[in-house]
Parts: sequence; C-alpha cells; structure tokens
Amino acid sequence: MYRYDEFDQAFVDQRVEQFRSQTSRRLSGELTEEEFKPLRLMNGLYLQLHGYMLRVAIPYGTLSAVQMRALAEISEKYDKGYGHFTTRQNIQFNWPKLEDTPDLLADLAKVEMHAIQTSGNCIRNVTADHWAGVAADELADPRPVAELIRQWSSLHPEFSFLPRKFKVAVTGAPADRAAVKLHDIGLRLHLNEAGERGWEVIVGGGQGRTPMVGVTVRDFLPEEELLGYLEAIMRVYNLFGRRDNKYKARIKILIHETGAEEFSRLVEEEYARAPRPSVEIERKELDRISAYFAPPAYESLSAVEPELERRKLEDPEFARWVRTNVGAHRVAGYGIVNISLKPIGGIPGDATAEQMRTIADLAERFSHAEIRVSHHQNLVLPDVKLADLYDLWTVLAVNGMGEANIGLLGDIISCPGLDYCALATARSIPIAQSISRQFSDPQRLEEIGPLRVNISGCINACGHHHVGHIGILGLEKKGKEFYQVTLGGHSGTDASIGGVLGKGFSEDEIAGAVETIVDTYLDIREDGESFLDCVRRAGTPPFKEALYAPA
Amino acid sequence: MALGHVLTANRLSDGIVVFLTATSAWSEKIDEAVLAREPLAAGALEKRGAEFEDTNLVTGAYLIEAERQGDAIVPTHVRERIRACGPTIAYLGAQTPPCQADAPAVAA
Repeated sequence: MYRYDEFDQAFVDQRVEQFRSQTSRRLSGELTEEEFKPLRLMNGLYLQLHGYMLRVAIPYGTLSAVQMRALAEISEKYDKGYGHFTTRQNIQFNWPKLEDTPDLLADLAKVEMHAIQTSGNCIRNVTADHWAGVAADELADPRPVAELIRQWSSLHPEFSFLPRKFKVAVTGAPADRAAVKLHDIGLRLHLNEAGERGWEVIVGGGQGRTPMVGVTVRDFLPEEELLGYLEAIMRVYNLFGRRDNKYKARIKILIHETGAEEFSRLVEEEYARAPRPSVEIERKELDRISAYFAPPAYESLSAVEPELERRKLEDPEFARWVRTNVGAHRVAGYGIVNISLKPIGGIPGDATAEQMRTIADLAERFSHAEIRVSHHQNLVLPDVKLADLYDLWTVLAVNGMGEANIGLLGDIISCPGLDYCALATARSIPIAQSISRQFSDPQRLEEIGPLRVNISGCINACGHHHVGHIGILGLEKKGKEFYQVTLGGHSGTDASIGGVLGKGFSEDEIAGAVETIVDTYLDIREDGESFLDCVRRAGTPPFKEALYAPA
Repeated sequence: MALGHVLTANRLSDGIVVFLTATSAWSEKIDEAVLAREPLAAGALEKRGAEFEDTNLVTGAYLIEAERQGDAIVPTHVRERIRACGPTIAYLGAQTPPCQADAPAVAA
C-alpha cells in the first residue's frame, strides 16, 4: 500500500502543529467559535449531539495492521474504547475532547494518517472498491489512480472553497462495488481492444435530499488525460455550481438544471481551453505510485483446498460463513475475507479497540498485514489462503465478528442517526438492531438471499437508504420519530433509486413491516429470482397491498 | 403543567453537553438545571449563556423546552431527551447502561 514520502510526512506533521496552535487560540479565547469552526472542520472535527466527533480519513478504504492497531490505541487513549466505520470507508470517534485533539492527530500522523478531506466543501477522501487489487473480476487495481487523485485534490487551492462537498469513487471492475454512479464523480476502468486503459467518467450522481444516478460524460478517457479532465469538470462546477442555496449546491443539481448535454459541452470546452498537465510527468508519477500497490508474493496454490472442503463438511456453520463472507480472489488458492461488523442486534460498523487489535493481528498472520473498510461498514482481509480460512474464522467467531451475513438481510447499513448525530431527525441504530434481531436465523437469511436494508436517520442519506433494496428513512413529526420505507434502490452497475411505498411506520412497527415485505417476496418470487429482480419485475403493488390493505 | 425552559450548551474544552444551574454553574446533569417558567427568566438564562460563550467556557448555548417530573427534568423533544441523556443504545465499550429517552416526556 502507499507509504508517505518525506514531503507527505512533513505536510501532515505541519498540519498537526498548525491545528495545535489554532486549538490553543480557541481555548484561550483568541479565536471565536465562528472563526474556529471552519478550521476544526478542515481537520475532521465536528461538534455532534453529545460532543466532538473526529472523522479520520482512510483513503480508498485501505489501511495497514499497524494503522488499525493505532486506531485501537487512539480509541482507548482519547475516546471510549471503540470506533465507528462509516459508509465513506472512514472511521469516526464519538467522544474526543477538543483539548486532546492535537495530540490525537499527532498520534495519527505517526502512522501516516490524518483527518483532512473528511469535512468541508472540498474534494473529499476518495473511495474505491473494497476488493480493489484482489477481485477475480477486476481489470486492474484502481487504487494507484485513487491515490493520484488524493494527492492532486488534497488541499488543492482552486478547489478548497467549492459550492459544496465533492465525492469521487473509483472502481477497476465491471461489477460495481463502489457505487460509482452515486458519487459526484464516479470512475470505472475499461480496457480497449489494444489493452489500453481508459476511464468511464460518470458525473452528477448522489444521494442526500435529491438522489440521482450519475450520467456518463466520457465512455473511455485515456488514463493520461484523467487529471486534466477532472480539473475541467471541477472548474465548470466551481464556476456554475449554485452558491445561493446549500441544498441545491451539489454538482448533480447543476447537471440537472443545465442538462447533461450542455454540462458536457461546457466541460469539453473548458478541457480544450485549459493548459493540460504534462502527460509524461503524470505517467511517471502514476508509475511511482503504482509500485506501492504491487501485489504481494502469492504462493502457487491449487484452486481447490482439500483441508477447506473437509472443514466445510464437518462444520456447517463454517461452510455457511465461507459461502456468504468469502469472495472470489483473482489468485487460485486465495479468498477475500469479508468480516461482518453486523452481529445480531449490534451497532452496524462499530468495533471495539480489542476487535480492532484482533483484526490487526489476523491481517498480519493471514493477509499480508493489509485491511480494507467497505462502504457497507464491514472490514475486509483481502489476501487469505483458503487453507487458513478455518483458523481465521474461529478467531473471528470468538471475538463477535463471525456473523455469516455479508450481502444478506442482516448486513444492514445504518448511519449513527439521532443517537449521535446533530443533523438526524430520528434514530437509526435501534431500527437496525430490531430488524437484525427479527432476522437472526442465518439459514433463513440465506434462503431469502441477497437483500440490502439501508437505514438513514435523516434526508441527508448517510445510511444510503435511497439505494437500499429496502430503504428506511427516519423522520420526525411533532417530536415523534417515524420511518418511511422505499423499495427497489440499488447501488450496483445497474443503479437505481428506491421508490417510497406509502405511509410511514413507528419504531415498533418497522421490523414487522420488513417482515411483511420479505414474506411477500418469498410468496411471489420466481425460481432463483433475487429480491431486487422481483421488485423490478412485480413493481410495488404486491408489497403495498400486503403492507397497507385493511386486514 | 410545569413546562419551562432550560439553557444547554456544549462545554468548549471537551464538547460534553451541559446545563446551566441556579448557581450559574454548568452541570452535565439536566436534573440539576434551573428551569425557567417565565419568559423573562428564560431571557435572562439566554443572556447568561451568551456571557459564558464570551468567556469561552461553553459554545452553542440555546434554550430547550422541558418539564419537571418529580426530581427529574425531561425535555419535550426526543432529540433533546437523547442529547441530555446519551445514546439510547448499549454502545460498545460503554460503562453505563443505555439511556431511556423513549418515554414520552409530556403526558398527553
């Protein structure tokens, strides 16, 4: 993975000292809250419902065992001994003190981490396919490009005061695991007949209060042109994006209001006009960065591991976990282990310091010391030998991380909601917990098949409810929380936004409503038809009928 | 009906939610807050809050509606009940049981 050079390290260290000075001036009263707020936000420090919250960047969701161990230590030293992995592949600490934050950031800097690009109207931390570099279906690892974009965009002076925040996601695979159509810019790698690399550029996707699927403005942008072209998009957005209304300031609104064709024309015009970065330098730089992502030395192994097959026969629980949680690796004899942070009745994405250390140990022992965070709020060990799966699983299971539910109904995405968040209108974690308890039988989960339930505690949609196969949005009326249900959202290659079913449900009713929806699906599904396909075929009427028809 | 207003803020140094008491101290316990029953008294609380913001002890002071129920002070709105009481879930690493903010504050 990428390692800081002396410039990176000096830059991050200086930033910590700058924030230390700003914090001490705030505490002494030299800076007012109004003056200080944008400064702390530029360093990832929010003021939430119960106190400060620090969002730490995990670029494209990749971190080392050493970094994970440092996060565990930080959670104990400055917080309450746990952290929350987010839908942006980052980690949040819920209880840091302002007076401690400079020291916390200094501890992060020691392991090449920071909280830059996790807040504010800048280009945010770049996200990527959490199976990058190892997925069987992947054309090439997208992380060198993600890292290049990170370096280009970090504190980019021209793009530090955009109309609104700006999110970029990249994938190197045809199966979209990075939700590239739901970002301000999504990039998907393609190869042409000559084997050359080009990027499909998708612009104007997003969730929030106005969910939209992005539009493709270039099918195949030669890789060396990437930064120049992104710059042109950013310039058009920076110039024409609305600044009069925060809720209409994202690039998706600009594209919606000007029309995709006209927007595209403006970008091409800007691109033709602008002086381009030197192609040669960029190639050299990309090669330099790519070297950091060189695959580890894989052993030459058989695709079938007899020991694994024997264990699977002996232990059906293990066999189930292998079926649901282990993804296809591009190298024979290896698997991608997806660690569920969704225990039954647990808090999606939360991990204790002890669990983080266990993951770090396991990564060192079994997966070349590398870990990924998925936007589904799970963790990934990308390079595990099939022969090691059983040993790995037993350690996970005794540490509360052995749940076999990846991609199934128990694998619920949930934002922190009103239990933590100052913007939330309703709680989302207790809803996730009640649904998770309702569907606690792993065999039933498997029978139901792939089904994503996503929950947000407000219309800002951090819990990705718009792209949940079943989406749940928490709202509030006269001081009472209630929950609106959407069906048919999806964040994959054929992305779609879910449609609202009807009248909302109370906290006590919502798990029952999900049960009714699932029962209806099981009732009407055709052979081998997934929940999403069933909703797309049958539409919402059967589900509405089941939910709302008088008994 | 013992409805009134309580002044709340976040302590600047650590961000923790605090409430203004009758002795002009800031307490982490809402039950120790002063409940202003009269608009004039609420206005005075707000003024005290602004002074404390000027001296950088707290930040973001504002009034919330709440009701005295025996020894307890209970905010009207669920958001403020959770803010006063803490997460309603048993979060990992927590030493304290989850907050019971679900109960309706004001009897219908």
